[in-house]
Amino acid sequence: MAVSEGAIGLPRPQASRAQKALAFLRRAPHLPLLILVVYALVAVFGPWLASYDPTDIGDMNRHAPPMFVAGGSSAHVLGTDHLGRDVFSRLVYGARISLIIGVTATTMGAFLGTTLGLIAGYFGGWVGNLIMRVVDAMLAFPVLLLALVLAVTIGPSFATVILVLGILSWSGYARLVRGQVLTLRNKEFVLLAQIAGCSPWRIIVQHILPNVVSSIIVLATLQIPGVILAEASLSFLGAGIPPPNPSWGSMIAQGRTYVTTAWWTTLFPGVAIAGLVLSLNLLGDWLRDLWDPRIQGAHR
Amino acid sequence: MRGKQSSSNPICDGHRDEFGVGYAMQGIGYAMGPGPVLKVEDLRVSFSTRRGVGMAVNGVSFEVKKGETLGLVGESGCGKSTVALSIMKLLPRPPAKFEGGRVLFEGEDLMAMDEEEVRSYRGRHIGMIFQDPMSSLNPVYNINFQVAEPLRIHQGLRGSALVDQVVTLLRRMRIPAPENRARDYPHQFSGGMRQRVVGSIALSCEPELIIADEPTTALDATIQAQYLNLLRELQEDTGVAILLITHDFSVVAKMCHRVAVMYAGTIVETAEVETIFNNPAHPYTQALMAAVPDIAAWKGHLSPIDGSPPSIYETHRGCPFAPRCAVVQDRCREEAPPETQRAKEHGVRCWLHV
Repeated sequence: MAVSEGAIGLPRPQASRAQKALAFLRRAPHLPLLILVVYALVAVFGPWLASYDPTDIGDMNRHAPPMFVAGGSSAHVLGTDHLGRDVFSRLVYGARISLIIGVTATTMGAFLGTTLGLIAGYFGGWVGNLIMRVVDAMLAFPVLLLALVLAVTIGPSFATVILVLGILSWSGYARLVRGQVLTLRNKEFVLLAQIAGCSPWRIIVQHILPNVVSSIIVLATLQIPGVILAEASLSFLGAGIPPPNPSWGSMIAQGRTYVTTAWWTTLFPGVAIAGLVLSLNLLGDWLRDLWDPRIQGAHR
Repeated sequence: MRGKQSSSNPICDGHRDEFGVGYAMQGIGYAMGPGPVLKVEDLRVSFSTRRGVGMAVNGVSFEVKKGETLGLVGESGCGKSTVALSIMKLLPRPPAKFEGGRVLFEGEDLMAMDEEEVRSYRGRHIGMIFQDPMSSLNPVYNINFQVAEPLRIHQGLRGSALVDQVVTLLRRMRIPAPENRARDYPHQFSGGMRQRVVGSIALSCEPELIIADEPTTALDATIQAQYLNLLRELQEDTGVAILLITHDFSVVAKMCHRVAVMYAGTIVETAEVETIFNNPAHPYTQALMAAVPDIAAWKGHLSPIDGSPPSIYETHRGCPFAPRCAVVQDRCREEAPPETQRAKEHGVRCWLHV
């Protein structure tokens, strides 16, 4: 059978330049990783990078444009906001707050939701039903309103925001995990694991959890930006990070009013969030592929 | 009896004829064995669902002797797999409920044991092979991990002894290049090879009994024959008892010493395999035999059994097969027939033979 590979190969669809670029990004996680490392470094070393105190209103030089726009000066690289605070400095300090809130609250929610989802899916029964009814209630209820009530009740602070957003973001994970566990627990490998002598907890942690981790990570990378934006909304409503402290969300919220005249006060934090979201999503895609043994080899 | 397998056993040498091992060769060994490995007495299992309570297994009794293969046959939904999972106490409870009876494994009643005790029997003394090799293996772990798991848990093996044992087991199931393949993941194996891996897991702790629930249904015909030959050679070699659940009479003919025919949650006839094929006593067994297509005497049409089996949610008086039976009598509809011994190793539940 001397058939050349070309003769039996499927015709490859012609990829556009944009598709090729995206495919490259997907294959090589270097760029998103690099961006995330830069974000992390900025968050850690913020005080050394920023030239101003983020809460310093200076000489009340309001809405000074960025240096590369007519009228701008190198004193304020990315301009100033409506109170004359340096946008770049606030952006750098805000990175710390936004990243910590995004990552911590998401981790908390993912941990809580996954645990409850595994229990609801594997054991079922009235406990599982109870968990899922709470999930339904959470999904039906406007989360932001609940967050607002909770945050105001406890009193707005950094820790409150993390706690509230963490506790309120678990329902998606619980529902996702439960659904997957319901199909996985009927697979015969679970029976074989029981036959091998595994205890229920060992089956859940060792045999079922690794099968759902990839979905959890994908969901988590999508949730981090959601949490950052929710923090922004809370800040906007006065129940988030207490005002003079910068967070990307509150910067956008405050600059919104002046977007037509002083676009730099909203654009730069927006770009910062967009860069983070994109990097996290690409990283999530890559991690999912990496950890799925069924498509291993595709990246080697 | 349960010593370490030497790596020079004849299975590994692999120059034996793949298809030609005669059934008669192993006939002597099993009959001389001691008491039964597994004895099931009047097992009753029900399911509570929205449709009500259904008796899925309604008083099943049978035994499997050392070195013997007992075939449990019957049509879909008759309770074969429920029996298998009940023996292992693996049915989800609820909805399943154990209503009575005993499952004696080497004299110990598994039904009376708590979960901890049963766990020490599963895998160690009873291995299991399921129908679908695609879902029997966990996709996120390599073969080595999965074959090693029962060895780690039951025998406490670690390190290189564990690796060696895994390779030996894979070699016994004739997986080529086991040292390399052990590192592969399930998706890198074909269906037949996966089922061999599942076989390796079942054999890992050298169990006295293997329950094989339609092990070859998902395999194609040639792979099926190879797999059955392999199981039979392993049985000759180790003396393991096999409870083979199937609805395929060609598998029964190839593998089984004795056969238990199941219908609607009860065993209607138990006999040696020759008797089942040549001289079946129960009308249901006779109808089943008539339904097996015979290519040599092809009549141009198949002979199905009219009607369908009763739902487990219906309560019925009398013999469950009565509505479909060709030789039904009035009595059959009123009263369930008792089991009668027609000959040694031949029991039947039918008023015709009382």
